[in-house]
Amino acid sequence: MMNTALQAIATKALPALSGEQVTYNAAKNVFLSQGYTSAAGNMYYKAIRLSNRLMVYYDLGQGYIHTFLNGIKLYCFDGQKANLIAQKYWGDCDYRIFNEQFAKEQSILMLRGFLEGQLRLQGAHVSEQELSNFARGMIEETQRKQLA
Amino acid sequence: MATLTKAINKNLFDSILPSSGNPRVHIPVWDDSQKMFICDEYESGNGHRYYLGIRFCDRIGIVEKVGLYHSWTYIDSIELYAFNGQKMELIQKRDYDKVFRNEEFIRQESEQMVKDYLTGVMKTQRICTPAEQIAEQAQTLISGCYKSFLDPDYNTRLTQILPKLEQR
Repeated sequence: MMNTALQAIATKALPALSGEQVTYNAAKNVFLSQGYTSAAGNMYYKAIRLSNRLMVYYDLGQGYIHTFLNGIKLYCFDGQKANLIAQKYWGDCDYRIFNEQFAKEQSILMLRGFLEGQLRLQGAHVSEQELSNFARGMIEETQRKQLA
Repeated sequence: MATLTKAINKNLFDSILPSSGNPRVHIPVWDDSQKMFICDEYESGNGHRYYLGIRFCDRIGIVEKVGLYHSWTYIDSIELYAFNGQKMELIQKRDYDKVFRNEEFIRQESEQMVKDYLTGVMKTQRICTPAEQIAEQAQTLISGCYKSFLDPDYNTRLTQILPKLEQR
C-alpha cells in the first residue's frame, strides 16, 4: 500500500494532468495517466513517480512495437503548489525507446542542472560529488517502493 | 567543520527542494535542457500548465509562452525585447496556434525575428546593409541568448535583466 502522504499528493496535487485520471501500478511503482490515442492508433500517456520532494513525469508514446520516451519533466514543491524545474524532450530523428536506466540517468542530469543553477544564483558552493550524490538520491527516492 | 558544512548544505538543499507543504526559496529556475529561465507558471482549470521561458544576452531578451497540454508541449508565442536605457521594449512578436515546441524551430524563429527587426530599422534609416551581415548579426545575438547559465564564463550580472522581463 502506498505511503498515505504520497497517496494524498497523487490524488490531489499532481500538476499538469490536463484532466486525466491516474492509477497506480504497483508492479512498476508508477502512476499512469489515462492517456490519449491518436488517429494513427498510437497511445500517449504519462508515467509519474514521486517522493515528498520531487515529481518525475515521463511522457511516453506506445507505438506498434516499442514504447518511446518523448520527454521528461521534473516538478518540485513550493508550499502546496508544484513548480516545473526542468523539461527535456526527444522525438523525430532524435527518438528514444524507453529504457528505465536511460530515463533515470537523464532525470539525474536534469535535476543536477537545476540544483547547480539554484546554487549559482545564490552564490553558494557545494562540491561536485555532493551535488551529484544529492541529485541521484532524490531521483532514487522517487523510485523507491513506498510501503505503508 | 565537516559536520557544520554538511548541516549548511542540508539546509541549502532543503530550501531549494523542500518537502510538500513547505515554501521554496524564491529564486528563478534555470532549465539547462531548454537553455532558459522558467517563470510565471500557472495551471488552468482544465489542468493545462502554462509558463514563460526567458533567455537573453546583453542586447536582447526572448520570452517564450509555452503551454503543456496532455503529453505535448506547444509554443504559443515568442516575444523579442531590446533595451532602451533601463527598460525592455517589445520589438517583435509572433503568435502560434497548435504548433509543437521544438528547439530548432524556436531558434530559427528567433533568428528570423531579429533579422526582420534589423532589416526594418535599416530600411527606416535608409541604411543599406548586406543581408549576409544582418544574418550574421542575428545569429550572433541568438547564440548569445543560448549560452548556458551553468557555463563558467557566463556573465551572471545579466540575470539582473530577469526581473525586467518578468515585469514587462
